[in-house]
Amino acid sequence: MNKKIKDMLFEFSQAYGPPGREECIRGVIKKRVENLCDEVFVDKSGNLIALKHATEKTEGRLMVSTHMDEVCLVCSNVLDSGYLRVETIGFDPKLLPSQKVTVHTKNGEQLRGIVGMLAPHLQTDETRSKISDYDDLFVDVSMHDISKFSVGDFITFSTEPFETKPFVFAKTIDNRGSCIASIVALEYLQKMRHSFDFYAVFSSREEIGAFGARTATSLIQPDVSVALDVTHGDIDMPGHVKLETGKGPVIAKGPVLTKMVSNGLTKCAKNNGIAYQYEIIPSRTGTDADQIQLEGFPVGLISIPLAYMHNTYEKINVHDIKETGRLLSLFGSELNRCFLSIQSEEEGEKECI
Amino acid sequence: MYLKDLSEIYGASGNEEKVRKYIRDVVKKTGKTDFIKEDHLGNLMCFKKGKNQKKTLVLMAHMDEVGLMVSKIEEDGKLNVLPVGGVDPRVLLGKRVVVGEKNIDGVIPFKAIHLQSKDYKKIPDWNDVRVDIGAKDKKDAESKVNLGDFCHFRTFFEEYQNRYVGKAFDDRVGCAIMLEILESMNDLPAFNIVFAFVVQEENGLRGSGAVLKHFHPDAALIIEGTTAGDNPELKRERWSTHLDNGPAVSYLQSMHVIDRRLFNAIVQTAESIRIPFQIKGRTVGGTDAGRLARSFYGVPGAVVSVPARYIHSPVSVMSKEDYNHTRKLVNELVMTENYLKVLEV
Repeated sequence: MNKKIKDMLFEFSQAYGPPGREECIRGVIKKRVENLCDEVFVDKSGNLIALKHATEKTEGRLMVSTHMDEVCLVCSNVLDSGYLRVETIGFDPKLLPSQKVTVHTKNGEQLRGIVGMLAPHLQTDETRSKISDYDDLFVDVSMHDISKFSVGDFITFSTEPFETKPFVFAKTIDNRGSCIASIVALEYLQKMRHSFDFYAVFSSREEIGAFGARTATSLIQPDVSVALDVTHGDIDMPGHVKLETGKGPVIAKGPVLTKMVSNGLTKCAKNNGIAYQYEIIPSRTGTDADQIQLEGFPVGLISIPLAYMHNTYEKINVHDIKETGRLLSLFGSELNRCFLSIQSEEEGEKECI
Repeated sequence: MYLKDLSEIYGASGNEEKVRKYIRDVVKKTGKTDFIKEDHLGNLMCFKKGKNQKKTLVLMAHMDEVGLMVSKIEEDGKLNVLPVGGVDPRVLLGKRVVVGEKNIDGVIPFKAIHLQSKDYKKIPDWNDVRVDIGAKDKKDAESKVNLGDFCHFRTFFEEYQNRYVGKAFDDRVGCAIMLEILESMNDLPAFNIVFAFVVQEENGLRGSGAVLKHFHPDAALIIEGTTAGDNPELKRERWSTHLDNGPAVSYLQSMHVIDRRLFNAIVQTAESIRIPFQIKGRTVGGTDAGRLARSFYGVPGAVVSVPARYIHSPVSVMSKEDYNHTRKLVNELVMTENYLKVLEV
């Protein structure tokens, strides 16, 4: 399974999918889930929805939402001198100088660009004492005919994944790692009984506000939902327990998240010997869960710890993806009607899940 | 293609073995030199007799590139690195590197943007630069790398209809041009030529002077990859060179005034064979010409460069046309008498 996950990470990380332009990654995921599900379709918001029917009489709907889009740059101006000016969706400008990028043109071409930076010889005290922000950064596309480019072209990072066991370093593991965990869950479910329909949603446009997840929720009307995303691992954050890669999925607790789902996930992990960690999120979560809650549905959040989120290389422990997939499949399989009727989860839980 | 191969070889200053081996193999294969010499520093000198054997020209390019060196291994298994040559830490974040002889994969990460507050605007310095090789802890890291290991940018070469993209164009482009000239040399050059591939230019022009211990040339011609600086934020008058405008000829550089006669000879030669050229607009940065002028009895030397954008970083961009024009110009300079003749009193 670990090898399979690694291969998927390599493949998924290279498939582009800026917010609202998820065609490529959607196609790649579709191929992987087609044989694992009963129905696969794309909704009007660009979400890919894979449905695996309950193995017995359906008792309800479980939705697992993982976004498939990625942070990127967008071209805001095309200069005749062979350069593009750019703006960003979620990317740190400090990572950009001297970075190879891929420009996705309106004709569907993928063209090389280089984010340039003045050589140290030509720097002055003034230029040395500032970081290049988006007003200064530019993409050199002088290796191509400039007429191929237009304002609004999306630009993704061009980096090659690699493995140093047990880690994989690659771009866009946020959130392709979670997409893979969702697929892993579907694979495990092939040999399991489950009384809830399992909706694996690969949602669009999370990086600009998680709007894909919201419309998918509205469409599916899930009885229980789980958002699946990544979180900051291996770094000390003041006031927080340090989350570590390799120590299993992270179950989140906070006002956005429905207690019964969070507790249900915890219980499921405990009962099945899956190592897990807790993350406390006292405000909005910055994931699909926020929008699912706003739509008015019960939602939990599982995050996979990774290091260097939104970097050109993010680092993840393959084991955590597998364990997250396993937890999801077990949760899906153990869910039953009784879970939904719990009002006072303290007492009810014991009997029902 | 020599430029591609040379660009992709890892060889920071003091770690030029692989570049030297590649060049030596190519030179041997051409069978066009009279003898090859290697000195203690690692300079590679290939001698070719000319028509006029009383005069000798040194044609020089440096084999090294800028890079990093492992200076400390942290408890958490990450590596501290320090620059070998002029590297701006601002180009390092988010980049891929290889460490040590075994080319261990690593990346230079930075704190996730979500977790930055004041540090969003902080200029990254060497304290922010750590290499992550996926080691669990210090012990695990020590089993893979050693203190003092070289660390190189990992960038593959790419070719486009009008551009080359890759690392280390400063100065593998000079090495590639010299190899191409040697390979295509069917006549004797106008005078004896020493093709000198030297070490340790980037850490202070430390290799080239030793070449003069072995040869007593009349003059030198340095072939370089130089700064372009034709970025959109710079006004035209602040550019150093501009891509596609042809080879850059220097008249003055850090600590060295180019001999006017040699400068004129280059300009005249370019004009006579109708090769476009540009005078380098900025005088910052030194080359081995400065070292040669201060070594032995003082060997006069001039510099012809291929303009390259974003040098001393993991990736630079160069014009194919400039490359070809530079090669033609240098070839003409070694096949005709003019370059050394101007020095006759």
